Formats: sequence, structure tokens, C-alpha cells
Amino acid sequence: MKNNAIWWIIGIVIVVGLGYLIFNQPNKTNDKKSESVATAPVAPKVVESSEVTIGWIGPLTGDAAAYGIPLQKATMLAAEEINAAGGVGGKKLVVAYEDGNCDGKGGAAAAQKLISINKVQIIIGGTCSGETLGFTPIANENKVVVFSPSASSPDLTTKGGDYAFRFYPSDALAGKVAASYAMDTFKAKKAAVITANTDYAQGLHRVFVESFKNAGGEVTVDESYNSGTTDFRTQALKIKNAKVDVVYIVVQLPTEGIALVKALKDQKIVAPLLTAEILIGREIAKNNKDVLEGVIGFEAFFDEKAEGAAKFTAAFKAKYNEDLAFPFMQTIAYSEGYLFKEMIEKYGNDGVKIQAALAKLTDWSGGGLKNMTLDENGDVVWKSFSIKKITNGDVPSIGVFDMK
Amino acid sequence: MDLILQLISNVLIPGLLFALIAAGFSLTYSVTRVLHLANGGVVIVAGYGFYTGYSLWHWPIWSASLLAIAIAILTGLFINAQIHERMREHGIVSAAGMLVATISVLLIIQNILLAIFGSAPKSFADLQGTVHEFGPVIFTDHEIRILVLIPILLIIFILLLKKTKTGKALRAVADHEQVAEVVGIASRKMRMLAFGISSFLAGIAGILFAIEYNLDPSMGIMITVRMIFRAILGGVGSIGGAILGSLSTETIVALTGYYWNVSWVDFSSFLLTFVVLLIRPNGILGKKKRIV
Repeated sequence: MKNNAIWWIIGIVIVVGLGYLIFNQPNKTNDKKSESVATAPVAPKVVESSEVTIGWIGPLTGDAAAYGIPLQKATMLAAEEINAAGGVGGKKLVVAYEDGNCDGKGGAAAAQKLISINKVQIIIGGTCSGETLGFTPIANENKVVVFSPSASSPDLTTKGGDYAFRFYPSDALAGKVAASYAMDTFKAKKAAVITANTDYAQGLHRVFVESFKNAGGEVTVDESYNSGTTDFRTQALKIKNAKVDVVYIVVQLPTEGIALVKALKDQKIVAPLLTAEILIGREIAKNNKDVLEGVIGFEAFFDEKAEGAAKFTAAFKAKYNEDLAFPFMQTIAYSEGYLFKEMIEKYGNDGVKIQAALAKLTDWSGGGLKNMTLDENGDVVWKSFSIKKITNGDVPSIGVFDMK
Repeated sequence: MDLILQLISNVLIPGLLFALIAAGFSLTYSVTRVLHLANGGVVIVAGYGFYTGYSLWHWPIWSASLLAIAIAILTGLFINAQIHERMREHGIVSAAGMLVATISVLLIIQNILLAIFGSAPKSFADLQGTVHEFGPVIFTDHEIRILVLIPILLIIFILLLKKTKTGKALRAVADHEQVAEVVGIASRKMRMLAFGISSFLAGIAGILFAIEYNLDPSMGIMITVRMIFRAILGGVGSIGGAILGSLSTETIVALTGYYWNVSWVDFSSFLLTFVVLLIRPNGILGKKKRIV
């Protein structure tokens, strides 16, 4: 057909033109993508002598890449610094990055590959709870240490076996903090809870509802939505008619959270909106400041100004020219690089020996962290939580909550 | 009574948005016999076109909307000319082949958008406007826009099909392509027109959808899945059926969400479709070869 050529030209011109214009925007939205392309998995190493390979799992594509890529960048920075300073006991530290897709299937596939092809003994990750729970059985079977920088589901350490550890506090704590805060500060008697149907959100949901009920409160609306839900008008109406004192929201993805908070506000629900860490992510709060204004979230208290952490923040800014989106998680992802440098130098690249050492880890300091102690489940011992309130696109702390 | 009004308002917003999308889908199906699953992709392309014009280039809302609609129509026409017409030329008219092609297009669109714009959600909170109370019912400025604009568009669309010569020609091709060709209707042109109109509707729906529910690239598949279930429930190929299918599905969704739990809404809406199809295999308004 003679007009086929014209169609092709129009199509190509549009794609190229749009691509060109958008890639040249000052606020580059695409750098995430190019980053993930640049970090293709490392090929298996035959010569063991000059390199040490460890694994890394997190979501590098899809919606949850918004969490995975900032964490990946933090680990990449640590590896680069370690190698610049002479590597791990003279060997080059190589991190094999795998995409776990934020779900159990993806996590399992990634771990399978890292363990059988890259022959790793240590995996940093995963980022999401569901993803990590998907591969802890495989890791335990193969005696490979799993150390997550951000997965927070209570199940991870209780059901994740002996080889699962984390520095990020369990949601068994975060859910309690939210419930106590609702009770103490807002004198809440009735709560509405709306959460995503994912391992992470359901973990928090379970703890919050339990703690709130134990403290004498009543959960009058309890809803879990499936991912992909966009319209929350009916749920907002239900919550409004239930006349609750506080609304507890846990989302897995920011898009849903923004739609949900908007629906609640359109219904003129005045009860305070409490949430966990995702909606108070710095970028998300900044980009959606009108909708999210006033939302209160809880995250583990972490002193960003402390010496090691401040050094990391500055180095990150210098390398990537961006601020930390999730300061605590990213600092952990960075520090875990240093933790394993130390472990491998002391015990060799051996999952069994390192597992034994980690089980007794007390007062470890390194990277951007200080005085980290692990308990018998492999959970970090943690007491303080920051209360953050989104105010005009910023996320200032409005108080600190100490666990009894 | 208050509750009924509130629930009706909750049905109308998503119901009308999906009615517009499903109506376009039904038109392309009846004229071209292609299940245009990439229509959800066209919707999301329009949303991102609007985002590019409005948020990145700071164009006024009208020119950004025109840009979005233009991109949507070009995408739709491009899909028709480069994929479906080509497959026809090569004599590939199997339903399965067409289906695979259109699903691929949907996935390609989603991945191009992901590559260009990233996965972070884009929101247009400033365009949602202030909240108005009409007795028990609450609407934002933007929701009023949806309530006014979509019914007008749907009425114009149906009148166009019923009253104009072009509309009659479209229906003739839908009824019987060969006979239509015999009486001098260029079916190729009509297929192009069908894709153009459905993409125009998808474009408008895309802008309205993006402002109401934010944007992220993975929404394309979600929109397609819901569109196809609503269209099949109403009867594929029937525009009235698309509208009815959307509104009845949203009614079930609202009732389930209110009286039961939001995690069961997918279950109950798919169950509704399933039960209706058992009783009426062609959907509520589905008769053979009928488009209005």
C-alpha cells in the first residue's frame, strides 16, 4: 500500500519526537529506568580468587521499582566505596543485582538464579515483604544468608527460618506504635482500617487491629482492597457513615494511596489519617502535597544527622545528585554492604559461619548505622519511632514514640 | 434515601468513564470484528499525553487536552493501519491472531510509557477542584465535569450512528461487510473511522480518568480487563449494552463494597458477568449484528 510509508513516517516521528522532548525535560523522570538497564546481572564467576560475589534482590521494574531502585543505588554506592578502598580482604566485591518484582514468585526466581548460577552465600534483600517471604525457604535450604534492608512483615523473621535477618524494625512494632498513638493522642475509641491485600500491608493490619482491640478500642470498618483498585468513593462513604475517630491506611503502592486519601478527603472525613511509611516517602509527599497534606505516618526513629548517616547522605547526593527518598532503608542498604565486607573478611564467604555470627550480632556499627543488635529471631532490637506529618509537601517529625 | 443517592453517585463516576471506553470498544468490534484490547492502552496514552502537555510543558488545559486526544486518535489509527489492515491484507483474519496482536500492542504501549515516564504515579490534584455538597451527595468540580460531559458525548455518538449517512454506513458494514461493499460503501474507510471514533472517545476518557484516578503505566491492563468484562456483560457490539454493562457492574461493585467488603468487589462483578452470560450468552442487549 502506498500510504503505508506515510503511516510509518508519522509513527516514527511521533515516537522519536515525544521521546526526545521528554528525555530533555529538566526534571528527568527517566533516570530510574536507565539505571536499571545499566545494572544487568553479573555473569557467573569461574575464577573465585580475585572476586567475591554477593546477591541483591529487589524490585527493579514495575511500580515498586520506586522503592527498589533507590535501595539498589545505596548498595551500589557501598560496593563502589569498598572496592575503591581495597575491596574485601584484597578481593573485588561484586554485587549481582536481580529483579524480584516485589512479589513472591519474582523473589523466588531471582534467589534461585543467584544461588544456583552466581553461587552466592549472601543475599541483600528483598525490598518488599512478599518478595522476601517468597525466597526465604530456598535460602534456608541452601544455607544462604538473607539480610533485608526494608522488608517489615512480622512473618519474615518468625516464619523465615534461621537464615533471615533484617535491620529494619518489624511491623509487629510499627503496628503497635500506630495503635498506641491513635489511643493516646487522639483518644480514639473507634477506628477504620483500610489496607492493601499484600503480605506487607496485612502484617501491619493484623498487628494494628490486635493492639487497638486489646487496648479497648473498636475497629468498626475493616477493609482490604486488591491491587489495581482505583475508585475508593464507596469505602470513603462507608468510613464516613461509621463516624470513626481515626483512619488507619496501609498501602502497597503510592498510586492507590493517593486515590484513597483523595476519596476520604472528598467525603470531608475529618478523623486523622494514620499510615505507615510509604505515603510519607519524601518524593511522594512532595509530588502530591495537596492531596496528602496532614497525613500522619510512623517510621523507625533514625538520626539522619549522626556522623556515619550524614556522610552517606552527602556521598549519595554527590554521586546521584538526588536526596534520599527513604533515608532509613537506604542507609541500611548501604550499611549492609559494609556489614558483609566485615563478615566475609572475618569468616570467609560462607553462609553457615556468617549465619552463626549474625545470630549473635551485638552493638555493630558501620556504614551509616550505630549500635545495631539482633535478637533471637534475627530482628533488630529497636525502641524509638518518629511520628511524621506531611505538611506542605515536607515530612517533618512531630514527635518521637518510645516502646515500653 | 440519602444512602441510595450517595451510592448512585458512586456508581455514576466510574460507570460513565467505563461506559465511554466500552462504547468505543463495542463500535470497533462490530465494524471490524477485532477485539480491540489495546483500547485500554489508548486510554492511558491519552492520559500521558495530557500529562506531557499540562504538567511538563505547562500548556493550558485546553491545548493539553487537544494534544492528548490527537495522540490517542493517531495511536488508534496507527494500530488499525499498521496491524489490523496489514493482517487483513495478508489474509490473516483468525480471531486468535488478531487477539494476540492486540494484546501485544497493549503490552508494548505499557512498556514504552514505563520507559519514558517511569513508574512513579502522576497526579493532577490541582485539576480536581473544590468539593461541592448537594444534600447528601458530594462531588468535586472534576466529577461534575464527568457527569455532564460523558452523557452528552454518548448521546452525540448514538445520534451520529443513528441519523447521519456516515453512521448508517458504519452500521451497514457492521451488519454485513460484503453487502455493504456491494452497495458502494468503502469498508476499509469505515474500519478506519471506527478506530478513529473509538480512539477519540478513549482519548477523552483517558484525560478524565487520569485527573480522577491519577496515572501509572500499569493501569492500561486494568482498564482493558474491566472494559472487556463490562462490554461482554452488556453484549459486545452493542453501544447501549456497553453503557448498561458498565453501570450495572459498578452498581454491584458499590453494593458489595458498602455492604460487604471491598476485597470482594472483583469476585462479585465477575460473578455477575458469569451469571448473566449463562442466561443470555450474548450479554444483556446482545443480539446478533446490532450496534445501537
